[in-house]
Amino acid sequence: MAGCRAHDPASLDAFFRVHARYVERVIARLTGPTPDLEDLVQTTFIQAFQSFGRFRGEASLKTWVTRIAVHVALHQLRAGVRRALPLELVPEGQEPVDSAPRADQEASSRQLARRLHALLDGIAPKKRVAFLLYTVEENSIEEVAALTGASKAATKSRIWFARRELMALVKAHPDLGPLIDAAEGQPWR
Amino acid sequence: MALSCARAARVSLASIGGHATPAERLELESHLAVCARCSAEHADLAAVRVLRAAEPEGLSTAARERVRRAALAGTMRAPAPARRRFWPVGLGATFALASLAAFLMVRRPSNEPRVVSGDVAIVPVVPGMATSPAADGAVSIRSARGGEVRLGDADTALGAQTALVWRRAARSVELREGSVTIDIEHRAGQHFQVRTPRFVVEVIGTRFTVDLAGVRTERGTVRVLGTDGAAIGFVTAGRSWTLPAKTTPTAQAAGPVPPAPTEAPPAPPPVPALMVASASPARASSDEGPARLAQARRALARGNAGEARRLVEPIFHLGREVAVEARVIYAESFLVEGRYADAVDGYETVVRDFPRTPQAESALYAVAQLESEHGRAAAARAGLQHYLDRYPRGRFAREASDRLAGLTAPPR
Repeated sequence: MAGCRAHDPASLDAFFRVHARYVERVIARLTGPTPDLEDLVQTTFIQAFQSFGRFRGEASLKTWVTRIAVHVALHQLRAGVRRALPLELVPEGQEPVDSAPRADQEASSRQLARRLHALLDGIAPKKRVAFLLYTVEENSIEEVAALTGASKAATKSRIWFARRELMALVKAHPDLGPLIDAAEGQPWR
Repeated sequence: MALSCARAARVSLASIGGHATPAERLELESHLAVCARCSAEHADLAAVRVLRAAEPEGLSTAARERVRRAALAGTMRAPAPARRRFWPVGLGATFALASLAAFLMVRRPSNEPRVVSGDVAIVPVVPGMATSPAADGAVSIRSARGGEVRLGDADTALGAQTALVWRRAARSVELREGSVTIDIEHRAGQHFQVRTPRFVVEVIGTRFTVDLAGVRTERGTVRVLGTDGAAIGFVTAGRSWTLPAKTTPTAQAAGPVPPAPTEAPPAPPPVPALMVASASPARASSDEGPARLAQARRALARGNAGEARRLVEPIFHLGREVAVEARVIYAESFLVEGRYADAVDGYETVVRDFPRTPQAESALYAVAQLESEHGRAAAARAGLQHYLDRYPRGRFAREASDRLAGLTAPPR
């Protein structure tokens, strides 16, 4: 920690190696697939490296760097995330019969996740981030509030509104139901 | 104890996030078994479970290493993030300006040259040595062992012993010695130039390498011009153009940085005719096809578009089933990078070269969808109509009809 505060390259390097993959995962979860992931991770670590002097040790280093990553992701979401084209998925049973052999499952799963993230683009960034931190990253309400710098009441409200908006968005895309069922391996209805 | 619907909704959300206790989950299951409305709402949240289960696409090892080097280098160079300089100022107007600046930094690539890695030195061009340096923001950039630098919206890799001048206003690189690889996205109405003392390379959106002897295009198409602006020809992806050895200006390589091309010797020798040499990647054997496709898919899933392209390029010549899938991956790789013009080119290749495959149908719709999503309404309408004419009962016919109706609807 003292080495990081002193901008010692070896200490900063060790900090990066410990936390890089986790930061990548958090940002990728919050923003969805984007060609800007590399830039976002880089921005997070540059901000962290330059802010060690202000780290008071009240939270763990992991929580502290996660907070920075969350703010970087929020900033990016507000600016508009660049997306790869979410190609339409082929409903089960309608696949082309002479399709070339390929890793269909992997591609479908990836495309479904991309499509769901594109749906989430319809939810305000603050609500989306709180919702994903709570439901996907499994943070408690208190942890989400600390990571986003919001009150507990505001956090609960954001998660609840995001839930409602996501349900409306899923309803508006009835073709998603069978694909989600297929991805889960069992129907929920 | 039976749950109310309101509490069931809260427990449903908590259970998806892994926050519900076993007892609460049991109560929830009992409630869902008898309440169709809550059961349907719970089912709608299955999308979240899919997102939880999907492993996010992280960085490749090479990308992570680039980030590590850049983050460490950035910390050594700059003491604090630029926008934090605004923090101590409490005035509302200043805060608004800071927000606007931060927004613009994200929305638009910076025009200031930025060293990404390597030993790259950037110094302003001394007034009086070149044409109006103050007006066009010219800077001299040198690298002894090679490095990477961001010039405007172009990612630029400098070879060893490279010297160039970057003219921001003109979006122009003047290569004085060494070699430079430019990777740039299409921006409507804007060209990017690399000028050498003997020829000029003009680009719309592509990746290409220029040295004093010629140019090699890895992606897209570049146009080669004489220093007088006369067109020499085009160099498409996988091809290169070279000056004959006897006219290569190698004498300048070891000397000091010469003046800009506009101040070059007044009577340059005539530019030789275009000589295009094939530089196609090595061809892979047919039994490598499926493995390369699978590897390319995985590379694409990791966001490593360049690696995916390198894997599929050698199998373009194989049989139809492998080749068409390779072409689809090639097109998708540009989407992953947000290079929409190149992606459209890639999908059009699929449509043109493999017209009777299912991939051609997807590609035709993808082209129209891309045109639509990027505001090119006329092209989108034409593309969607073309798709519907060709596949009236196709897999995307309903979406194409809906999208077409949206594009042709009269303004409210």
